[in-house]
Amino acid sequence: MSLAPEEIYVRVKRQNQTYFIPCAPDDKIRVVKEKIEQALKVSEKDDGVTADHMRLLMPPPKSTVLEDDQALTHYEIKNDTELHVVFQISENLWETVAVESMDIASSAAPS
Amino acid sequence: MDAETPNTTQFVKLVSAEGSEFYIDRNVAVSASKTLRTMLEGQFREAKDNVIRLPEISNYILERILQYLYYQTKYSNSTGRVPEFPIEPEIALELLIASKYLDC
Repeated sequence: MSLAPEEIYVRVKRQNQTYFIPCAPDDKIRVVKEKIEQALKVSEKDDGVTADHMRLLMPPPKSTVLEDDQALTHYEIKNDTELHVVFQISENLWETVAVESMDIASSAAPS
Repeated sequence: MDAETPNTTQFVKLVSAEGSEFYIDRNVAVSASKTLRTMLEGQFREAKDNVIRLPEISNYILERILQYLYYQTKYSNSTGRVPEFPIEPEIALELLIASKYLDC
């Protein structure tokens, strides 16, 4: 199987996690959240976080909160665009955006 | 997980040397890396857990490798213009070792 040429992926980051989510440019933001929900099924400890309890954002300094019913193209999201996600902790409480830095310098040296 | 849940999830999780977690599409993993395909389709623990630990590959290299897997999947059958996949010279050796291990 291969991705259709018009298919893209976004890299969604949260803490020490990165989700490579395949999508189409005209997919709605909601679709990306639902795919993250699917990805979480792999991992038992985060199992149960559903699309309703996620917020997608542009990385800082923009940090725009992305609306469910807007398409990726609306925010000019392209192939390999980095986004951030936070989960809802309780009714009025959301995680703060905290993403592990992954530049070359902070990477572990090979042994 | 109850007994009725199939083990084959749409995504698989890769864990780097630092313990960071990368979730990638299973189809991309098995079509772009022979090593991942063997691990996910054989009688290995990885096939059951959908989690693959890569303790020799650091965060930065793993992220670049996964970008490459998606790039390869996207453009392998493409007849149109294929953009370049840029590689920083300072990571070229590490990337080469990792891509050899993953057979991609």
